[in-house]
Amino acid sequence: MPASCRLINFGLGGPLPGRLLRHLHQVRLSRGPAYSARAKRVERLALAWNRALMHELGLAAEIHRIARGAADDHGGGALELVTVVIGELAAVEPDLLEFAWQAQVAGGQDAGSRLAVEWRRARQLCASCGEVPERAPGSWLRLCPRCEEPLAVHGGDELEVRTVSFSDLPVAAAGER
Amino acid sequence: MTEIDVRQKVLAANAAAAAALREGFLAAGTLVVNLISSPGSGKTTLLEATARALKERLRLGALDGDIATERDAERLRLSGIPARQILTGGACHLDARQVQKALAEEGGLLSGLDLLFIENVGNLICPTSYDLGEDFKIALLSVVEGDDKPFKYPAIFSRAAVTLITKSDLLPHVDFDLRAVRRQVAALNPSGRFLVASARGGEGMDSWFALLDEEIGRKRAALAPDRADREGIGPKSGSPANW
Repeated sequence: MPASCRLINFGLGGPLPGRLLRHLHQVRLSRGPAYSARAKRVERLALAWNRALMHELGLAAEIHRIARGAADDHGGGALELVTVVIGELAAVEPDLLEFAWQAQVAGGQDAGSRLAVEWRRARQLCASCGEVPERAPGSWLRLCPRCEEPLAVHGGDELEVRTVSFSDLPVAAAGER
Repeated sequence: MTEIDVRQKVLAANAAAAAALREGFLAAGTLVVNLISSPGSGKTTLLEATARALKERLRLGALDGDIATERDAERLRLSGIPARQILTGGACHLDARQVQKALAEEGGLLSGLDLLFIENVGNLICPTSYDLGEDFKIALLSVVEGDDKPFKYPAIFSRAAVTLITKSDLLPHVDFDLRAVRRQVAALNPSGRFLVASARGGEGMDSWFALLDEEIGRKRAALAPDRADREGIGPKSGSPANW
């Protein structure tokens, strides 16, 4: 679903949205020596298109704020790995969130850090049939597939920063390396 | 390298702002409805008709989220209710901090209302994730958008307490299977309410107004009894806390 959000915003942003989209994909896929130059380019483009990918970028910015704050509280350096828990009913697409994370941290002290998503399924209980096994991927139905009674749904809406890993070198020292 | 446990909700900052808003709305006895739909499904037209019908007996107001233009707030002011535009500058949804800021800047004009509408940015996806301190979300779906939309955009239709099918006067002209839509919404949201109306033709609007009256009554009943008696339905003084 966030894909539509992205398209809506690209549609409003101006010409050639597809080109930026393809470029950002390339940047995300490239981890070679060209990465930092490309990351700078992404940052510039992201600034120019700062409303693109708004849904995921907005979430990525919040995750970054939380993770950076946690690292700062511990006197930590650059972020290395941030894990987030995403439920299947949170309306967030993990791939797009990881992609937005790269745009969020590009060019800054946390460039090169990774976002990892732990995916959580919802549990659904039917009053007459008991626990209903996994819902079909992408389904939001809240009726029991056997008896059509309403299901009680537990979890699946998680959207939480779980762990933050960071370098023990203070940020300033890391920058001087 | 150090790894620490954080366990913090990603939208915690928005949730905190929404909780402060909700507390303020509760203290003021203001029912708050967050309207979410595609662009062009008739949010503003519904609110214009609602303003015209109810403004003599209820204190109404609106916040209008849009990417650009003051057009919606102007339309609602012309309908006789206070309204403030929130320009998101491109963002696809409103968040609770924008609502706090808009209410603070508007001063008393949008405080002490019986009913505040928050007309979200036209978008069936992103606004779904952001709590604005509202009492409930309403999803609008116009009959020209197609009868497959609840299953295609399940998040909003499963989270909105009310689904309102708009532009029902156009039903004879379009292939829109109302029963199929009702079944989809019921499958996504068994406890949700389902209304069909035409703001232009007037059909179904009485049910919409009755729903609003019922919810306003429920909200007033939640006020401390002495305060509800003292204030009656006259103008309320003071601003809710935390705005």
